Amino acid sequence: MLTPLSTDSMPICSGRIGDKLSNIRTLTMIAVGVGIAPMIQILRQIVRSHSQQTTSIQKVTLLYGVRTVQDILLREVLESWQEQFSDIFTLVFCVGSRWNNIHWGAKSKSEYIPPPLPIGFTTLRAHASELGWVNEENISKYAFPPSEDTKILVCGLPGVYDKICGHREDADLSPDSALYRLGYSSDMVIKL
Amino acid sequence: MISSVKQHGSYVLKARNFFRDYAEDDENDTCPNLDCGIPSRWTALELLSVTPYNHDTSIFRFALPSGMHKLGLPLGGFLLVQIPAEDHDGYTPTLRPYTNINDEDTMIMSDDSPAYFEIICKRYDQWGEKESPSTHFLFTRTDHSYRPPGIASNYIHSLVPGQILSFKCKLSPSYCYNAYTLINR
Repeated sequence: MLTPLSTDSMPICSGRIGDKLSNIRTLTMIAVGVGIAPMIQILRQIVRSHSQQTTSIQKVTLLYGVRTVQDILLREVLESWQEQFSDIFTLVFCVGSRWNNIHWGAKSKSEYIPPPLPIGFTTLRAHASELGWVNEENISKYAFPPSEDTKILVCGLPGVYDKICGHREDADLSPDSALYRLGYSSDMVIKL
Repeated sequence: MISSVKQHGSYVLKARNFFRDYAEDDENDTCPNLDCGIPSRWTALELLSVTPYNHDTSIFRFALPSGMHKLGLPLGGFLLVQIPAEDHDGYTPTLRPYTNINDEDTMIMSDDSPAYFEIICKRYDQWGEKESPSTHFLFTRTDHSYRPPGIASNYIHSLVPGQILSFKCKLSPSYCYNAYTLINR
């Protein structure tokens, strides 16, 4: 069904993302795979304006999900920021896939032998490294809790949007998404 | 509206082409880019160099249009890349968003090297078990895991320095209110 939208009810192109990030204190970034590219752009702007003291953002947390350690893009840039701007920037890697969270063949928890760590997992110089996907548990552990002066940026492949915040074309959070269940509202989440 | 294509005797859901409204150059562009080095019209830019990053990812350096000193992409903006139709299915050009990753303030320019920007591109091979009429019998032998090879990423990785690629600057569609005249498309 096609529904025409009234073109004069809302201002055209009213908000840029820079305006959206101007009056907040904490920022959570959720990037999966190649979704790191816009985060790099925004992070570079944030650390630059933080050193010039022209931003209100005090804490930034980046949750970066990848399948293997070799898939981490721009790792040296992120790790240098983690060391250089450790007062503002927190870097968390989530390495693995959703299969990491399934205990194959184990009858009980005591019987379960965890698989070996991913290759290169111990070489990561991040604030924290998690095994598995960027899931609800990891978001609730590291992301800033819902409040008026926080925002969450999400970027990744289309399946990532569906799980974390709902379809990319929809402006609102979908009720079965992870961020909705964690209590975030639509105006706190920015789908890049 | 759910679109579907008929494959192997059954209708299979088709992903919506998120960026297809941007394929044409629109004279009444509702999201003008005020200070970006690349206009919101298709601009052919030359590939300067390719730097391999890891096993399937490379960093591609493109020259800016002449006279531009930096890209200056607004936050939340992205560069739309157009893959010509004749290079994959012959019907529609493929559009993909990319973001530049280089630090423009430390860019070293000289007379013989023009201003540039860099994008990072991961090449996607085909993945999963390919579906065929035999695996589609009552959907019992397929796990729907097949993903075709990436159109844009394989095309960009096939470029050599000196070839051109079409770019266009856009703001993030989440922040272009009323950019669409129709919804539910």
